[in-house]
Amino acid sequence: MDKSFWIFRNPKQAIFCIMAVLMVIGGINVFSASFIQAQDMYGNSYSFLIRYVIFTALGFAVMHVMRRLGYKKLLQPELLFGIYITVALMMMAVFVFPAVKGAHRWIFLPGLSIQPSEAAKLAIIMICASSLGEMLKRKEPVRLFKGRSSKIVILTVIYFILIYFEPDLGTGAIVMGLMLGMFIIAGLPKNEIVGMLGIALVGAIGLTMGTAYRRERVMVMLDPWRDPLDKGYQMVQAQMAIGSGGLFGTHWGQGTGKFFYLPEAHTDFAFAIFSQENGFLGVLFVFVLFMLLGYIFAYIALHAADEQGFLLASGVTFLIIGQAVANMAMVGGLLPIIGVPLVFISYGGSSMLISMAAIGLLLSVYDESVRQEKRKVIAQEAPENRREGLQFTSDRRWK
Amino acid sequence: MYNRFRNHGASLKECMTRYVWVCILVLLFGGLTVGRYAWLQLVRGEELRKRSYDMATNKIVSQHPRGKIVDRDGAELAVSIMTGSLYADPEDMVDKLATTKNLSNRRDVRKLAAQLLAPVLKISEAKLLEKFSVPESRFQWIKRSLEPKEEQAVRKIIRENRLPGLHFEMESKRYYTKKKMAAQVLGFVGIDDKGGAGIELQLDKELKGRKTSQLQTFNSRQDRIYDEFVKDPVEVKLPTVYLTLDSHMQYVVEAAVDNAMLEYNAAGAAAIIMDPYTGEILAMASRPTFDPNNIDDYSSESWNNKGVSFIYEPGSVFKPIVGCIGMTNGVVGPNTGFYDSGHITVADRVFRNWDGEGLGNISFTDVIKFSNNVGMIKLGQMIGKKSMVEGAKNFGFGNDTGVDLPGEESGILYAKDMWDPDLASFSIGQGIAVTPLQELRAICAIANGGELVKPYMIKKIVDADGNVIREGKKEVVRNVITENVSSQMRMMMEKVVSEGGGKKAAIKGYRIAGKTGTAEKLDPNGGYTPGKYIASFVGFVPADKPKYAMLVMVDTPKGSLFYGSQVSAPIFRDVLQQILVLKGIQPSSREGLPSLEEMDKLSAKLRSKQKVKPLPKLETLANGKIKLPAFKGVDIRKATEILEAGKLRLRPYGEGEAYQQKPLPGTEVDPNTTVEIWFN
Repeated sequence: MDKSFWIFRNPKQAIFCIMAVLMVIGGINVFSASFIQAQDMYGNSYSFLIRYVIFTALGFAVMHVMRRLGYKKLLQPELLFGIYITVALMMMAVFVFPAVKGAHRWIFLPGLSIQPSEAAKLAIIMICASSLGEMLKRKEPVRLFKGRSSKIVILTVIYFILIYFEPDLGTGAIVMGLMLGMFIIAGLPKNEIVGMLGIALVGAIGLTMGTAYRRERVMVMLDPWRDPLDKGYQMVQAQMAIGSGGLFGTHWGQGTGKFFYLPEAHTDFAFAIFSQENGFLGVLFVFVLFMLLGYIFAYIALHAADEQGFLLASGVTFLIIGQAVANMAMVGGLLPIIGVPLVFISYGGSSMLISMAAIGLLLSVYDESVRQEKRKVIAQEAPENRREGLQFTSDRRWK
Repeated sequence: MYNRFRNHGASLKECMTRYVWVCILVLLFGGLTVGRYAWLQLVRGEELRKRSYDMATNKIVSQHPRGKIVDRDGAELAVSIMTGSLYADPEDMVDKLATTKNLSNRRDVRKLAAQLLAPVLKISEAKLLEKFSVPESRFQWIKRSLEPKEEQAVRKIIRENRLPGLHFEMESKRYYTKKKMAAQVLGFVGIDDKGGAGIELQLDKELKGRKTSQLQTFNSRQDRIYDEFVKDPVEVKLPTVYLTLDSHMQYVVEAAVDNAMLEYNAAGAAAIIMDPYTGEILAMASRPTFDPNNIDDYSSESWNNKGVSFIYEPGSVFKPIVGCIGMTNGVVGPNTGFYDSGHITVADRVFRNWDGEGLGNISFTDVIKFSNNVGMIKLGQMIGKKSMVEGAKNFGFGNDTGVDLPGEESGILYAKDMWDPDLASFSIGQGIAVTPLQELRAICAIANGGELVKPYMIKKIVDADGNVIREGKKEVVRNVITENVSSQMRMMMEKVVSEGGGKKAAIKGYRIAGKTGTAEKLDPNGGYTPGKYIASFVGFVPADKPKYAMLVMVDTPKGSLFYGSQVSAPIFRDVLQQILVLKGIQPSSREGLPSLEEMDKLSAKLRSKQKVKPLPKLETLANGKIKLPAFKGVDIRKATEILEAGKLRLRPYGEGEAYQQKPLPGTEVDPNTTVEIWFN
């Protein structure tokens, strides 16, 4: 398990290095994409960059804490229930705070704003990992509407409803999607998968087409140039920004998209600015970095010490890598605008903290697998345990 | 198999397989996404880059002022300043990107703009609104060449209210500082900085205010961005054109021609002063005239520079030319005798002297002196048709002079099919049409000893750094007569003024040579217009070594006086008398002239006609305060000198002569006070 990874000594080091590169790229991009708006809003061009750096530092602290506590302790049902309730309360609290662009998504505290729906994503992953992992261990069937697992569905739907009324259908869908993903890999029967995907599709279409502005969003996504000055504005601006980057980009800092042309230039659409300034080569580089990260995540998941660890690491893969791909696809116009952030690259404190916490959990999965490996090695080497150990290896080889 | 996990859970390995499949799906979708970026950036990159570029950049055209025209001494005749012109882009006059969901938040920009701008622009609200609402229009002039204060106010309103679709274009506005003076020479500037006539047209390419354009990037709020990458347009300084004109002489000539127009109620007039040796045109006036500052108030006929574009039969002023041709061909000398019976019959046509009287036996000098037609016709017969036409051609008739002014005519010189009566007419300056400048140039050849020079108006063109990029030089087209012939003719022409028909051109103390001329006006449809005459006088001074040659032509003087000797000779005298004094040219003899002191006074008086009043002086009071004088009429340099003497500061506005000041005259101020003075 503790094998060397390419040029890195172990997966842990590889994760840190790739993360560091992404954070440097992200910091530069956040600054480049935000300094105009920061100057305009706060009179300080560095405003967003400073906060990005602060959140990054905080993120490392959170990551460290999560890793030290370890997933085994953190996936206790009582603790998870507490987390669930806290996040739910926070998501109710957002309605107390003023709406931004018509949506109640944030809790505003002096100096920072929190987006509880980001926390909901991790909370669901943890709940799924804990519960489904336990069920897997006991060979209990995982069903959507039957048995213990159906309670998770109820909890998730409650979250979804809360998020839906913010309104933030995109994030709600992601939460549901994460849960569904966890269920699928935890062995959801195929007919339920098909049925669920069918329901999700119908539900998505129904909810989307039910509201005029969402329907417009989808229509505009299909052809943003039909209304480039109004409904398709953001999409068109994003595509112009991306396209104008060409192969090599306009060079750092020289894109025009961020000059109030592209809405959310430093948050959800930061990758468009990145594409404009760094070109297709930059896009490819970041994509490859995320895929490498994903590969290591998957490696950790597949070598997890137990079912909970595996499911948790899988969930984190979806959270980090899945969202990254979704964001790129959204910015590039392959998905409707669903408000999914691109961790490290786009500015977003809550997303950064949650992602770092998730990576902390993932690292603890890795730590656990290393510990288990060591125990086995010790067991192999101890003469009284040799028989058992040999059995295990042969078991692994032949089974 | 289908529902394996319905009743029992999946194994970890099975779960991992599913996980790997999901990961592969994510990877595939990621690959699709990268493909999408490749499509956007590599395939459609150029198109999207162009769209993005077009969206964010605009060509900013900077107009630079037109080059100056000054006289030979550098006095400004035409200058340009930049003024802003307001235009609207009606289609853009809506709030576009503001709160797309809330339509009611959009302002009626057009109405708002009309309301706010109407009082500043002094255009009615309804009219503005109408212009702002022109459908499918991207460009509507609202008001051109705003006054600086107006422009500032409008800019402020646009900025403060974030009014979209209203822009300024800087345009060059031409000012002719001396108003009507030398109007036809200078010409005028039409819209879009286009030279319309005169030097403005001739040198339009050189003078035209350059337009420099540069691309400027804008943010979505239409503020300029990336300013650091765009240099401020460096003002393209244009060359200054120095004319050969002498403002003082021009002033005198203009005044004299104005007088003549009034006195004789004439249809038009032209007067030119040339340096006979170099061909420099020192003054050139034409009537009717116009004010190039307001060309729309005048008919286009007044734009014609009669000096180069008016063709007429010269009449007797042509006789010295014919005389020279005769002398050059050796058929006549100053003392050659002619018999004048008062009339002569050529073929079936009878030619008479102007008074019909015969003078009997006279010398050729007398023929010229008395402008004797019979003698001239006889001379013409002696010269012969071929030699006569060749001689006239040699003197530059029938061809344009090549002067650097637009619209020059070449006159009419029939070379073929000349009958005997035609030759007779030609000898007395009929049957040939000339321009005043052609005639004057030919006379200059007599004045300067035989050189036919090319007249010119552009002394030099000096670029912004002071380098002369083009210089007008004396150009001798050819030598037409010998020094001997010219001196003989000068002598004869001097007699015209001292003893003959040009007495009214005489100036006491100076030797003046000249020739009068009266011709019936040509009808544009052929033939003559009876009762309409062109009275002209051409001459030079001093007769022995001429400094100035001048032609005066009055078109259709009305009333009892119409002869050149009566109408044009006095104008010649009035003008040159002033100029000789002004230029300090010493008389040949002091007999009957005022004393030198009186001359000085006269000269000072003439100068003061152009320069006004004694300079204002500061008055320092006992309490240390300074009493301000009235600065009206003082130029910037003088004002600075005066104020510096009293340790006061000047804040000037504009250029030219002071017309307003703050504090007002008589105010007592402390030293170091700033005095604002507006110049015009």
